[in-house]
Amino acid sequence: MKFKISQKEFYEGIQIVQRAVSNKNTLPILSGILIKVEDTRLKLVATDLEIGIECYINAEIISKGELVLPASHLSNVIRELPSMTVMVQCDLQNKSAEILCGHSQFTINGFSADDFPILPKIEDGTHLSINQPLFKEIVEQVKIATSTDETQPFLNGALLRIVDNQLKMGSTNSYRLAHREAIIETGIDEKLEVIIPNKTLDEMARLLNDDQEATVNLQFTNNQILFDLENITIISRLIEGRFPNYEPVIPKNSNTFIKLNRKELLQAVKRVSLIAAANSNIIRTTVTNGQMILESANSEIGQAHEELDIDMEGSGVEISFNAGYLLDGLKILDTDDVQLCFSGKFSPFILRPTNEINYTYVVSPLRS
Amino acid sequence: MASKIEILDNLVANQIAAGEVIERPASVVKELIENSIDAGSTRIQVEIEDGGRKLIRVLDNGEGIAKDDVILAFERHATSKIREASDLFSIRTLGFRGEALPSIAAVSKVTVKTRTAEDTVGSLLRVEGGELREQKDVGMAVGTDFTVEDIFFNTPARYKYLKTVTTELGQISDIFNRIALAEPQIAMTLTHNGKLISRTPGTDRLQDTILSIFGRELVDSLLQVEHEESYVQVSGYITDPTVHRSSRKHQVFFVNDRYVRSSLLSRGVDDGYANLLPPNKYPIVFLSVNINPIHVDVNVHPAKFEVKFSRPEIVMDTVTKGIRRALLEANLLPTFKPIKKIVDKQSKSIIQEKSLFEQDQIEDFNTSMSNSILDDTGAEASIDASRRTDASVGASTSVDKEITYSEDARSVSEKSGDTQYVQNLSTSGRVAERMKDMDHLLEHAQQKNWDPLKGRGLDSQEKGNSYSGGKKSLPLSSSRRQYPGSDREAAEFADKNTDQRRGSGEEVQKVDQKLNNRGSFIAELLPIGQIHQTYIIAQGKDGFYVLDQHVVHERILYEELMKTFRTRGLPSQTLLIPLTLELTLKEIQAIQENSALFDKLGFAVEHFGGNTVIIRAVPGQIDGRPDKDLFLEIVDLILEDKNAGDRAELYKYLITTLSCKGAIKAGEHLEQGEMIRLLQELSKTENPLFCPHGRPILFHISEHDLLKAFQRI
Repeated sequence: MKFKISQKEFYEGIQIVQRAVSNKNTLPILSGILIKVEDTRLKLVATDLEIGIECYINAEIISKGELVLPASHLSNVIRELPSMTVMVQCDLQNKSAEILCGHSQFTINGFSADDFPILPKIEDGTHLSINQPLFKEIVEQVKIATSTDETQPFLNGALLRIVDNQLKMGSTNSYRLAHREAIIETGIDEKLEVIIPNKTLDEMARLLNDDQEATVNLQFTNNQILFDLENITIISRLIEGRFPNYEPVIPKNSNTFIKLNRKELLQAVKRVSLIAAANSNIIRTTVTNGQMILESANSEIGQAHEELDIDMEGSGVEISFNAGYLLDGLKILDTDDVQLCFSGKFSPFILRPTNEINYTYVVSPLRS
Repeated sequence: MASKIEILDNLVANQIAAGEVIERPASVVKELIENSIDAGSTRIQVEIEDGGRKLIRVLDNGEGIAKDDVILAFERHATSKIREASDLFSIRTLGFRGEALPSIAAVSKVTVKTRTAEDTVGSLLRVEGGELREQKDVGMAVGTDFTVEDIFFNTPARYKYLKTVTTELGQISDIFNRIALAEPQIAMTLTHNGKLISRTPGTDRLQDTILSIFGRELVDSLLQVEHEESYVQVSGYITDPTVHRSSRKHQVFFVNDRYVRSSLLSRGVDDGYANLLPPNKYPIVFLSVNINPIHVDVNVHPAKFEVKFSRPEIVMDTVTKGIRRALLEANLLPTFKPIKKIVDKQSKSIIQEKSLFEQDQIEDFNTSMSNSILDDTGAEASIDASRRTDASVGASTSVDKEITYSEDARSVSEKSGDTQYVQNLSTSGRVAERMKDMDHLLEHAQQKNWDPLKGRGLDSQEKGNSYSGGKKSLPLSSSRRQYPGSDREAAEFADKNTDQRRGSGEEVQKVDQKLNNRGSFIAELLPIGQIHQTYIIAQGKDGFYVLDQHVVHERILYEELMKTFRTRGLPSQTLLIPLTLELTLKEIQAIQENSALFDKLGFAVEHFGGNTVIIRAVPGQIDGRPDKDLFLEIVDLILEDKNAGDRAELYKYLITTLSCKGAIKAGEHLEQGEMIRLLQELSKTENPLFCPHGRPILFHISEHDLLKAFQRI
């Protein structure tokens, strides 16, 4: 097995699959990347058995074969090589690879490809095709609210639902919640409901691109989901369990509506939370007479006070909450203005963009 | 004159004896259910009213009591279960003493309806306070229907000690659950005031019973244990190591189908889980041990919770092995094994290092170390010890000097003490020099800002006076005042002096603790440096101290947090998705009784009915830590600690988990200034000797220890 490849492309390919490499030491072979030399191109595969990533890259193939090389060493070596053509020549007998580039020469010991798990092929199941930048935006907007509390595994991911022509995705860690809806063109008949794990969402956000023309194909089975990008395939286990029916949590009847500049609010909240950080990150907000006041106090450090001009409808309100949760929501939006809807001191409030995007971010208040 | 001593009549004797067996409604329930089980019932129905005060009714479909035997059943030591004493060693039934029925009947109003398959008609028997009131035939199905009303109606002292309805019901439900777990083949129901509380299916599958009592979630994490060795059979279910509680309350053991409490079996469980659980965490287990009855003595306590095994170590070992096997089969063990090996190796190497000292010295060393950790007394003692040697050296010097100056001293002794003191100072050659030296040392030390005697038993006179109010303090000066005239006196004096010295040391010690400044000496330690960037070495008055930098900081942060918490409480984060938990009735009861506490902690808990609680808000400050775990730990803590009214413990617990996070870690480099500051802050804390988790913060190696270690003395 022998091939030539540009350092840059090789390194990019390694980076794409590397995130699926297992960092547990239970199965040493999973700390490696499978390199499979096919007729015209190279296939890189990594998996930790929860998620698997496959990536095709172009290379000049001299002879075919496959070998598993330890991911961290391979990646470190290729990164430091000069941007020239890299030649890789593997000794399948001794399970080692010789890497030649310019005046550099490395020999890296690997594992036999026969021991590497084969990524499951999803043959049946539901297909779905979505515009890549749209799906990327949805994933990014929803993944911020997922939980990492291991006692509630079903919250450690986002719920994806397809109902008629509508895609709904939501997540929550019980303290805040993100929900996004979008109309998708290639709708499917059946109803679909899956929980996609955190890590997979992160990888999706990283690998999906912003090219308006690109689409991603999704394929579902009972316990697995497959994302097919142009040269990349991600296959992930789904989280089992029942995601709570969170939609009733989103307040329907708010009585205070305010509109204000997103950046100004973001910066003000950031500043006020500097004082709040030592105290549950709790900030108090008062909405009154066209003004929003943000305050935090810590008996040892001091106090912070910010005032913002707002467009306001409805009654005034005073509410305390964890500043970090609001910041997450504000950061993920990109509209100039945002809308906040309050329903009272002890009720969750809503953050929404002011454009046509159907995104709802809900923050639960703190009582002090 | 009538004789004063009389034999109690049967009724009173029964009432007294009832106290042994019948402590509270739960004991009645236990005795009655066990009778039903012994009668071979497959369905047992327990009805309770007002926590058992008003009514306890146990209805079964067992074999019943034959018509002619019914009345006999209420005679003390009447039993169908054993015939002679030797039978005690092979008991297969749950009851056997023949005490239960007469005891119950003695303190309540009992109505029994019972019928055997042979009899065509059942019999009804009504007994009030041990006296037969009614006996007649009655039509009924085969089985026994036992009703106990107005318990303790004739023993007001006992009635008075009944707890609230919820408490009594909690006890009943606890007993009920335990028995139900032991008898999965029997369908059992428990109702209170007509409301269903527990129901087990009687499918003969322990799992089903656990499900019905503890809920789905627990069942999912259960591992089956099935192990037999040396004629001991261990079976049942344990939880995988990810599920644990902070007390052993949830460990249920049965020996030959009888519920028992056994620290021996608990130990076996602990060993089985060794290294798999965090410290102070215990698994939930339902284990049944079957063993030839000959090897078990259940006749230890009337309530029969305790058992004795003839070969306890084998039983314990079998439990451990059974658990290990279950964990191994579930693949939960292998990853932890290497860790254990490493630990073993490490401890071995420590032992080898230790053996550089001689054995008795190690012990000495260890005790002095652990003592100084436990409280100041140890350190005090070791200091005392070294001082004492010092003093005796001084005394012996004074003795030989005494010969030289006796004449002089005697003449002076006739004058007033004060002059004598001056005189002595000016005249008594070597002693005076020595005193001077010491004074000089003291001054010198004070200048260096770490007074080797401050706050210690062997104080300089001013300090000693100020601490002990001058009461017992007999420092060097006073000894000089009474400077004696003869060798004998001098020797006596020397002895007395050391004695008094020790006395004064203890006195100061007590005052010291009262003043709560046990840490004051820490502020005066001089940090020398770090070892492994983990331990601070600091020189002190006597020898040196080793402090774990992480726990030092933890203690400081902890007390800061406590201060803010006491004044403000914790903010409460409302949950968007409430947390639903399935708990046992006892846990629910604990939550209800302590609702104010949960409020203050920031939890909003709602009882949803049945076994379910809903948590709508959690403390806002705790993040990164699963809310559910925290909540369950606090509930366990309440269950464990009867004085949960003392909330400080719980706050402490909660805050302990917080303070650990911000503390500097092992492996961080500290500058001299940082170390000094840490020690100063530590000295101001309430308990500078232990971290909030109970681990020692420092230990002391005294000069004496060093001298001994190097065999200089």
